[in-house]
Amino acid sequence: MKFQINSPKNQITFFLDSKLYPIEAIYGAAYVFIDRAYIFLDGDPQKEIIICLKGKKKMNFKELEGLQGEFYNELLNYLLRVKIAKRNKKVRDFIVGTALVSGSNIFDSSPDGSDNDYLDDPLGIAVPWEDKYKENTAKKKKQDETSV
Amino acid sequence: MIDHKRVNYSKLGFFRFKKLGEDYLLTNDVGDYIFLSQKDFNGYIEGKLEKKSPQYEELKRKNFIREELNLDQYVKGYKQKNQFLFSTGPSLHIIVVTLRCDHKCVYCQASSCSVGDKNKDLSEENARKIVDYIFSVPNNNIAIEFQGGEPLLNWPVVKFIIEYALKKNKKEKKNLEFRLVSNFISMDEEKMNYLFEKAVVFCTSLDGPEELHNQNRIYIKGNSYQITIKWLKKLLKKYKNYYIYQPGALTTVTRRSLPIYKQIIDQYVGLGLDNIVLRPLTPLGMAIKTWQQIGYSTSQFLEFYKRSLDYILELNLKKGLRFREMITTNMATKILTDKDPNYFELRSPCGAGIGQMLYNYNGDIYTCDEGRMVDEEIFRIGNVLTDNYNSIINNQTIKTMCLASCLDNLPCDNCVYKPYCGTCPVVSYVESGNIFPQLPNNSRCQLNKGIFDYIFKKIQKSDKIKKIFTEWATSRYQFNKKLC
Repeated sequence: MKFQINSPKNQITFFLDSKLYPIEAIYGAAYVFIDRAYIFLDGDPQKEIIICLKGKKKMNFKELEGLQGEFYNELLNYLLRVKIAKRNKKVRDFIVGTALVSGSNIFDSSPDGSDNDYLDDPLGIAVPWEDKYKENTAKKKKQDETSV
Repeated sequence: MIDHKRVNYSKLGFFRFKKLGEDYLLTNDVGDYIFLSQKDFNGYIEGKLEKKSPQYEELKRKNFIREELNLDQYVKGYKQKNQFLFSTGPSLHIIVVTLRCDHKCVYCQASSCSVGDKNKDLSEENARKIVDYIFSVPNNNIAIEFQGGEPLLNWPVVKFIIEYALKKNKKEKKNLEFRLVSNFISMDEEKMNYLFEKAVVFCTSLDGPEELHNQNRIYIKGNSYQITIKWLKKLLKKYKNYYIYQPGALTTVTRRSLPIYKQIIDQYVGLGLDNIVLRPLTPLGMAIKTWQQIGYSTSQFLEFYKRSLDYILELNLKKGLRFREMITTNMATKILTDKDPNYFELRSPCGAGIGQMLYNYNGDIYTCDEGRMVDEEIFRIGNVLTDNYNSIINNQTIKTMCLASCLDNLPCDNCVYKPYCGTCPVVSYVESGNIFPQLPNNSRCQLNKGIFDYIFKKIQKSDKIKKIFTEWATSRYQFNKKLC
């Protein structure tokens, strides 16, 4: 892995392949270090991102190298976070949306005094057509068979 | 180390995570959590956990497995945990009845002035307008909290507000509650009996043993500690067996408190109080000027907190005492129950303007208690003499505060403690000149993370401690109703 340490400037510079690491993961990982280092990001988001970490306190060669190692570990964590968040975005939007829409009457009874839940279906609207008429269709079929 | 080539994303429900000690801690959007060893964590993210294993069962039950997600349960959990989002306007209304105060506390955040400065008193006329305004808020729950300065120095107006609010409430029929934050210097039998009759909830400041308390809370005309203790004892005796909510006390932790945590806790226990709030200093008001003398680093406070909590747990475990620390209790409620304590600083968005409002002696309205403590007027949102509730609640400042404290908009969204945490835009502003917190430099972030880490480590290590935390958390849902 390419890296450059500039001890007098108290900084380490390294390079990340943008195809391996999405920019959101790089931002997330970089943010974790803002209490310990000044962060400089550069490069081309389509090809390569250049990361420069400049220690806020004086660091020796090993400590600067360690900072890079920690950055890579954090990057892996953020990669997982970003992918999980993307994969679950729709279902999470649905959960929050449903909760918010139905939430206004969360602790209230409905106007008629009953405690209908938003999932209740008193008119059977949510029952699939096939299930709703399965019994009738079966009965009719039997009757037809008998009459024949 | 995570091997991304082996992760099976199709199996993973949404979760946040961090390594805590040897294990991974995972949380989800409704605040459920699970600890997994490195091996089980790898098994989980690779989709290779044995379906009959207890870990898989727990992950499934808590909706961490995507294909086994129970959507109904999740939606209900989300609503329950965020019920404050559905409240119809602020419920806590803090009235500064005067800025006058007989104390000169070293950490005063309230811009108090001298006792003789009666220009800083709330007038009866403005008090009436404040109460009218409060009753125009659509929320059916109203808590009016008297603050100062020292509110008892403007006793006629305190009494007027109580009487006027009770009169209005005969028609409005809201759940009305009064609270008083006082140092008790101006308390007498008549006032105490009146406030008792009106079921007023008391809160005072008690910083610890006499020497420490009097060093922090300077009262030139007498001994602040002895007066506080005298009235606190009287009130505790009077309220016992009558009200569920007992008079309470807060300790503000200064540098001098750090080594004597045991004496502070012992004193609270000795007085018969059932809880203590280990409140860290906030860099607001006078505390900014005195920080060099009384302040400390976040890590020093965390060390103090850990020792104090260990000692309190020891009292619970070994001596069978039922005594709790309230910051821990609020956090434990979020972690271990399906309820939310509606603690304004630990919710997203915070309570500024939408959970609480503060009314200053001149009728000015602020987003929150902290908002009035900043010298500039940036958290002022109007005045009861000129504005109505609709114009106030649509104020840009309130919307901005919501935006700045909504953790989903912040890097906090990636933090494992996001479901339990909150941020204070006022403190962020004071610390960094920006209401959006710059994490992880933000002191509240460091503090909350440190406390959450410690609580989770305790829960992870000991079922007995988890049981104690659960008891602390579940016994708080009571109301201030007369027992007899």
